Order: sequence, then structure tokens, then C-alpha cells
Amino acid sequence: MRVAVIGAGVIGLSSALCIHEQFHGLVPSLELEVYADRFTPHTTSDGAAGLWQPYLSDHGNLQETLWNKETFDYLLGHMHSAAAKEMGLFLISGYNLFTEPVPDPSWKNIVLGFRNLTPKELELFPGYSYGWFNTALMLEGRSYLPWLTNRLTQRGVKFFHKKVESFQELFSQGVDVVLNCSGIRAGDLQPDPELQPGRGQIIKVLAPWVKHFIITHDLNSGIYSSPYIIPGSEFTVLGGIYQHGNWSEENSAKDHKSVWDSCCRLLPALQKAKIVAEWSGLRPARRSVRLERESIRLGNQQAEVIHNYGHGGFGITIHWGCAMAAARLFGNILQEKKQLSTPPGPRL
Amino acid sequence: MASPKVAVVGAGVIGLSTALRITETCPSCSVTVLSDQFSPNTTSDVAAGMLIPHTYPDTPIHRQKQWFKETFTYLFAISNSAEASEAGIHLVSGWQVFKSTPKEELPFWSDIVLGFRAMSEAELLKFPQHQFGQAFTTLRCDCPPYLLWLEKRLKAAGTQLYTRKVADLWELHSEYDIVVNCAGMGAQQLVGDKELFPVRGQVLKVHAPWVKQFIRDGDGLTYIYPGIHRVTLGGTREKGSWSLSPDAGTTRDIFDRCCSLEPSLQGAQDIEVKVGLRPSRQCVRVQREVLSQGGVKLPVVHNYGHGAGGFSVHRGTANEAAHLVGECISALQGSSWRAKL
Repeated sequence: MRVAVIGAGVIGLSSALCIHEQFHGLVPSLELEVYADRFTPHTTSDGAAGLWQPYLSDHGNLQETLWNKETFDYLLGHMHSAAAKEMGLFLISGYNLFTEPVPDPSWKNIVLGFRNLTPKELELFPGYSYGWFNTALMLEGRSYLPWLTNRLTQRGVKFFHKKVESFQELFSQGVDVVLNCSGIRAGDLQPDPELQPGRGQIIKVLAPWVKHFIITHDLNSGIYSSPYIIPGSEFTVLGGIYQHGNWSEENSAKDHKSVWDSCCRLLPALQKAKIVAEWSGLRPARRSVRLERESIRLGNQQAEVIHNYGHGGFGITIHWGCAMAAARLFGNILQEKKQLSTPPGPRL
Repeated sequence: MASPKVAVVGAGVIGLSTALRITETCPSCSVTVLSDQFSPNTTSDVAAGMLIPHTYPDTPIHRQKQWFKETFTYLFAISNSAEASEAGIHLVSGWQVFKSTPKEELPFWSDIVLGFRAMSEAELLKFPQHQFGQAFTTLRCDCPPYLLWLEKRLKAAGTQLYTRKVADLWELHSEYDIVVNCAGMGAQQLVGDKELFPVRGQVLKVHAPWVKQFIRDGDGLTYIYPGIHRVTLGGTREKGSWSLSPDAGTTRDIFDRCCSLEPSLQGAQDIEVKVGLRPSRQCVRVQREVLSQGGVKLPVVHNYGHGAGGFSVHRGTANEAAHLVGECISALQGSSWRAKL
């Protein structure tokens, strides 16, 4: 049973790990391979700050809220392990700021200690009259992706540095199931007009005195288009760009100025921070995550694709829930192919 | 008195902040700081610099609260300005956890720190040995930066700073009009205060930059305080111990206790061990005194004995001490006027 994962960002690697963990014992012939043209530290996931936080509203997409919760709980469970540091996982508290009162988010009971900001706290942020405080998690791509890669390598999963041009290419090599975790470039494999880039640009600075994330919101301009400051274990990420439909991965001077000026206004102490890097990335935006099976007829064979892409700016936030869901779909495939007599799950 | 000459003895957080406040309240004063130690070799440099008050048994609570409030307000403004990183002032959030619910669930300072509330059940799950907890956001003074920033402000105000061991306050009477005693633990020798005693604290300063939250056990013995570049792990409270040498067994014990609160600390690097003697007293001595010897008078303002709570109340006690210096000046001016008659 050959399974090929396309994509080595957080989605591809975690889906691969989840499937291997659940099925390698049950399916002795399971061979897992990861194909990607970009590996850490060059994936979209590496550019993300790594803060666990869904968008403000789930737009009634309860499934995604559940996947977010599954991810948070899974990560929180790892907090006490010695692996946490290696994974790039740590607790962090911070502020979400608004210029008017807003309804509580779908994730208020998922994070820890969610509450409204007090008037004294709002004094720190002139121009903002309402906000939230909560404790969430950081999962830094530059640590998490290598950690996932190590776990996969230990398990004998093979990695191939190449750009897959079509699902057909893999099936004709004898792959049985393809996991399509190709993120923003899923459209190259199968056109998807719903998938659009949500271009972001960030500035990485040295500001180790910043211990909280600060995310502002402008309800008119949309998510991530208002300044945000997210401290990592080494660098602090300044951002606030979301350009729908912009495919450019080049850094723009105009965006740099916008991010720098707005973040320094938000946190005056940043004026003294040293800039160490700049990065642009394309959030794989979609109305909803595409997480579903697709059966493709190839001659007299049925080839299976599990799509798992379109996680926008919340890939890290939702990744494990989606990996588990992808693994369930894989389980269904195995059952249908009679590779499994019963679905995996708790033994009665 | 045209330009009163004020000597401040001590260059820890108390000495420097008191000197600075005097330059603010008495611009005509000529202020000099004298100390045998300056940053990074003061007791303050060992401290974590967290604004979490220590309760002094014999100081009225309202006075402690006033000191804390003034200090918090002062630092809050700095933390919110462009100077924050140079001054080493930053906000930090975290938890104080208790193995059993404390008698006093709301400490006197709960409405001064930010967002104070009881921890939720979900948060307490992280601490299986603890029953109760409090979450809040407070401020921190990173040392040496904060002390160096105070020194810089003092120099800009024309203050002289000299390395000098003062063995007796009377040494200063010919050069200075008023002496301010911020000698911390040194006050025991300097003014023979038997109510002052050391409480030895050993801490580890480690590299663990992923630790963004503080965690403190309500017993005050185990704490994890993230600083700008290092995390302070503590600690001990050894009453009466004068030893400034690190103890290896204690280091191991502190590390283990902190790892049990925050397991990821196992990955901490670059462990530095430091020891400081908290200059402890049942109440902080902020008081005026006129020393007398052979017909000569020396006005003294004491500001020492802050024990475990120096950073938390430093600006408040500096305000009070500067006010007392003002009173000394008025008294001197009054008596010199009378002397002219």
C-alpha cells in the first residue's frame, strides 16, 4: 500500500505522521512517501509566526471549529512533554484589540483564561476601545517542521525533493493513495477557482522584551490587514498585510513601511528593535478547507486522492484536526480496499 | 540654602531611584551617589525585578499599597513609551499557584496589577499538585538595563556617581548637608540596625527564550520569571544566612522544583547561578533622623530594609524619601535663618 503525500508544509507532514502513527501497525505493507519542491525552512508554514488562533468568526463552519479545538487540545497535551521545546511549542498570552465591541469568538472556550480587557489594559492601546486577553499556544514552524520530519524519518518515511506535476504521475508509478497537501499551489494539480492567495508580508525583529502577542482588528479591512505583533522564541514577527489575489512573493517597500509604522504606533518600544529579516508568503485561502476524498478512474483501477488544502491563515491552528480527519478518510479507503477488517479505534 | 548637597549612599535600585527622585523634586539640590558596588554587582542585579509585592508585617497595608501603586504607575508609563527597551521595563503575564487555597484569596495589590482573576479549572490542569491559582499581568524591571538607565538619567541631571565604601555616615558630614541611606544590607554595619537581617536567595539565570509566562508558587519559594534575555529560576529564603557563594545542591533543587512547574525548562541552556542577600526587615525603614555628635548635626533620611520587595515598591519609597529630604532642607533653611538672627 503506497501512499504519497504531496506537500511538506505543516499540513503535509502532520497528515503523513498521523496516518503513519495510526496505520503502520495495522497495514504491514504501508509505504509512506512525501513529495515536495519546497521543504523547511522554505515553506509557507515556516513564514507563519506560529500562533494558534482561528479567525474571528467561523462563519457557521462548525467542522473547522472542532478541528481547531482538536489541534489545541492535542498541542496542550504535549506541553508537559520534554518534546515541547524541540517542537517549538510554548504557551503565550496576549491581546486582541478592536475599535468597537464584538461578539465573543468561537474559540473562547478552547483557549485558556479568555476574558475581556479591563479599562486599564486598554490604556496601553490608544485608539482601541475593546479587546480580549487569553492564553494560547505558539507552534513555531521552523522547529515544528524539522521535528515532524525527524519523526517521519525515524519511521522510515521517504522524502523526495521534486515538483509533482499531476496526480497521474504518481499513480502511474504505483502509488495507491495520494494525499494532496499542496497548499497554495493545489491549483497546479487540479484547478480550483476557490483557492486564492492571501498574500502576507512580515518583518522579523529582535525585541525580546515583548512577551505577549498583540493582534489588532479592523472589521472593515478584514483579517490580518491590521497590525499584529507576535513574539517567537528568538524573533518577534510584525505583520498586518492580507492581499487577496496577489501572487507576488517579493517583499514590497510599501508593505514594509505600512507594517513598520503601524506596529511602532501600536508598541512604541519597537522603534528601537533591530530588523533581522523580511518575508512574503501566500496564505492558501479558500471559503472553507478542502478536506475530502476524490476517486479518480484510471483505466480499470480506482485511484484515491485525499485533498487537504486551503487552510488560509490558520493552517497551524487547524492542522492536527485536519490530519486526523484525513487519517479517517484513509481508514475508509483501506476498509473499502479490504486492507482493514475493522476501522482503527479503541479496542472493546 | 542655595544648593543643598545631598549624598545618597547605595547604588542598587533603591539608591538610584531615590537619587533620581530627589533630582526631580529638588532641582536645586546637588546630588551625589556613593556606593562600593554599582550594577552589575548590586543585590538588585540578582533579583528578578518582578512587580509582585512582598508583604511587610509591620508596615501598614495602605502605605505598602500606596508605594506599590506609585511604582506600578510610574513603570507602566515607561513600558508604554519608546524608552521601554532601554529601561528594561516590560509587561509579563502568568500564574501564581497554590498547593492549598490561601486564606487571603485577594492580595492587597490585586486591583493594581492588570487583569487579576482566579485561574480557571482548565488552567489549573497544568499544575496537578496545585489546587488554586491566580492569573494576572504585571511589570518587570530587567537588570542591569534598568539600573543602567537610572544611572544615565542621573548623569543627565548632573548627578555625580562615585565608587566609594562609606564606613560611617559621619564621614560625609563635612562634604554634604544631607545623607540618604539606601545601603540595603550594608545598613546593618553602617547604622548598626539590628532589626535588619539577610534572607539569602539563590537563583539560576538560564537561557530559555520560549518561556514567555511567569509561574510562581504562592509559597514564594519556587518561581520562574522570564526576563528580556534570561529566565530567572528560584529560589531560596534562608533567613540569617550571609553566604554569597552558590551552593550546588541548592542549584539542583531549584532546577528540579522549577522543572516540575514547567517541564520544558529541562531544555534550558547556559545556567548561571547567582546569590543575593535580601535586606529584610519587619517594616521598610523610610524615616528621617538627625544624627548628633559633639554639637554637629547631620540630617539623615533612611530608605532601606525592602527585603524581597525592593522592585515592587522602589518608586513609592523613593517618593517618600525625597519628600523627607525636602523636609530636611526646610528644617536646615529654618535653622540657618534662625542662626542669622
